[in-house]
Amino acid sequence: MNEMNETNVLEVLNVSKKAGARTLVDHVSFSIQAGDVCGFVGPNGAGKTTLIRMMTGLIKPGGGSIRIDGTDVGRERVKALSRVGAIVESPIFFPYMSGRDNLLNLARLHPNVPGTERKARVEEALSIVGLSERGSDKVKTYSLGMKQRLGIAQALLGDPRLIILDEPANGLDPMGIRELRQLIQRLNQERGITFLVSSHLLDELQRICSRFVIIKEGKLVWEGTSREWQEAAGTKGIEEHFVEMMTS
Amino acid sequence: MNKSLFLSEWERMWRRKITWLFLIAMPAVVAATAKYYAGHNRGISPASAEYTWAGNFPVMALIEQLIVVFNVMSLILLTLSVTEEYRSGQIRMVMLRSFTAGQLLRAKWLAHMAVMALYFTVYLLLSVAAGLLFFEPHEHIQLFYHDHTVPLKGMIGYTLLYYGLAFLSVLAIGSVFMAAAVISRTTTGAVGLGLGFLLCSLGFPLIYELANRVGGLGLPGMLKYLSLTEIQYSGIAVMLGQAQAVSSEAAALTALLVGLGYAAVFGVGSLLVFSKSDRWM
Amino acid sequence: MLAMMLSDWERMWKRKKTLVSLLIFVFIVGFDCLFLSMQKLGAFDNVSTVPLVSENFALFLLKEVSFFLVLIIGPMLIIDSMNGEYTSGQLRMVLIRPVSFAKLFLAKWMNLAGMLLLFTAVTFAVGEAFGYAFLPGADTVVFLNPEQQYGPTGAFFYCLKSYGLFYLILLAQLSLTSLICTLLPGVVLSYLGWIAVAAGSLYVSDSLGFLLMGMSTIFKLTTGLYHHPFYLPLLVCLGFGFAVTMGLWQRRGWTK
Repeated sequence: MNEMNETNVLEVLNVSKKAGARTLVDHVSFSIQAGDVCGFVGPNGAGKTTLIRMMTGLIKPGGGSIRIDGTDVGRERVKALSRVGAIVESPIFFPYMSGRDNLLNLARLHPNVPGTERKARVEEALSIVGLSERGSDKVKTYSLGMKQRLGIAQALLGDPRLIILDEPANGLDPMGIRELRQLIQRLNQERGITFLVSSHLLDELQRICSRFVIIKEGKLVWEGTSREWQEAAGTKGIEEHFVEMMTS
Repeated sequence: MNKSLFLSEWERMWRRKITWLFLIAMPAVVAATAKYYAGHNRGISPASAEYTWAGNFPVMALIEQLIVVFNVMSLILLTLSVTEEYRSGQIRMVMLRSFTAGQLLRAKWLAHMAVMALYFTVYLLLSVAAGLLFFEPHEHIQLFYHDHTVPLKGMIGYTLLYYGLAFLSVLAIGSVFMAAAVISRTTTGAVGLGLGFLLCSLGFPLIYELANRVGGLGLPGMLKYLSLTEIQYSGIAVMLGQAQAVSSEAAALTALLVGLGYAAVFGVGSLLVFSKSDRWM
Repeated sequence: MLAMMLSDWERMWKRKKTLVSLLIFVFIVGFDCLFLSMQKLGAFDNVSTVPLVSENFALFLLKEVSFFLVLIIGPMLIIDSMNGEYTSGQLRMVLIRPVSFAKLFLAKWMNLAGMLLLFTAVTFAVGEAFGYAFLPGADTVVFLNPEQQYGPTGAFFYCLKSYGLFYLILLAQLSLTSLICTLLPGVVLSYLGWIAVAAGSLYVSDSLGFLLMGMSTIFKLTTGLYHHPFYLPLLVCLGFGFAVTMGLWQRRGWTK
């Protein structure tokens, strides 16, 4: 698929961000192509969430730029985000509404979802993540795992080409993690959705990612395909290689 | 009482910016009040009880700000300490320790009381200074509900008593705010409920006197002190009054019973609701 | 734009507090009707009163309930929408969508303006209905200035105008509170900020007194007895608060 479609869905170009005197992100550049499932890896506090906030236009880069489908997020945020779904940090919903009402409410905010299709789109998203039956319960009664799944459902609402997930496995049990993995693979293969999935655990992502971007202390330390990563690790094994990279 | 629990609450009080903000704002409040009374003085006779001198400024400054500033400070402190901690889940960190909910709420109450006592003390000191700085000294001061003027020496006791009673009245109202904080699920809800109670208390004496007059019910006038803000507005001055026309003892007794009544009902109520409900977990 | 307003409007009504506030407010309005009709006199201030009649009842009703709107219900609705949603992290679900932040603010502002209009209109409707149903009528009424007499129609429009002015004051409050909500990091601080601004304005300048003492200002203004500028400070609060807040929403970083 990569060979057929060379367009970059996401381009991060020389992006920096400071908070006071502290540098959160330091001249980071990488790109993701259509159809990729890209693992975005780094220890806690490496700047993953800060970068994801910039990708979704919640904060502006201090320097550099981010493009989605060729559109600059800083300049034309609305257009750039028109086909993007995301979870930023933990998914917090409106607790006083049911899961279904949350999605119906949020679906209004996608200009590419006509009012007549809104209900059908929400039901579809609920069934993809397996929440159709609990959809009418208030979100405050949901478990953490259900909230994560509802988080993916809300990311699907705008018929996205790119989905950005920030630590989606947080709080999930092993079963939940496997379901999540299968869900990402299915959406990637059946709908051609490109994924950027952040985590501080490499082995969690290894089985689904075609590509890795690794950052540490706000700097890019490695970028490449999954195969290149395995080759680089050589006989040491990938976990050992990753730990060495992070502690060096 | 568990001392370490109180200290932990006291520390948490001071870790909130707002607690410091109130303290830092006090000079500004005293200055604004002084400016207000200086202007007010121009319009009235120096013989009036409303005329402000260096000697009665601390009491006048408290009269002006007690109902709004001190009550609202108490409301905000309690809301942050109870509702906000619940809403953000912080309270779980304390509840996991081996304290009962009742102990926790009492510690929160005592910490609030200690902070309010400190505010009253600071306000008194600042207003004494501002009084000496901005107003003329005068030997004989005319007070509200006094048939005769009071010498400067007598003002010390009067001022201290006034501040003490005002503090107690704020605690009585605080017990209602505590109940509001305990039952509210959001902080805006708690503040709204508390302010609503203040407005209703302010409105009650008007309604009561009207109903009495129009309905010809002939109920005792003292019953207007069922409103805690009315106790703050005129009750304290009446209690401390020395005049033929007012019955200070009756006012003091009514205010005492009313204050205790509120504190008992709402204090015990908050304790019960707080310890019975498992939603804190 | 409409979609954004609908989504926010829906959330506003799904918060139980909104409906509960409306019900409590209707109860307060009803109670004040009874209270006023017992009183038989309408008071403009501590000195001036006029007999209460059908034609001026709605005006005095507004005076009674205005504090609930200005100090409790108004700030509660505004702060929940402008600060609470964001600082609790819930608004993030909206912010990551293809919507303009400035338009999102505009949508919230207009919804709140609609909500405040609803509360004001309920008061007016109840006041007029109760007044004509249960109070004696009069051929002419006077308001604060005894030299200006009004017939029934004139009095109706006088009341309507006063309600309109009060609503303008609420809009100025909406803009200012929105600004406070954007500058301060929490719900409680925002609430306190509004009370401090409203009460503090009395000490700062007489021309800002309308924020807290709206009805007393309107009584004087509508009878030509108000000696401070009114429209200019009001429009400055309304417009300046609105424009600065909108600019801030467009530029700020959303980190919660």
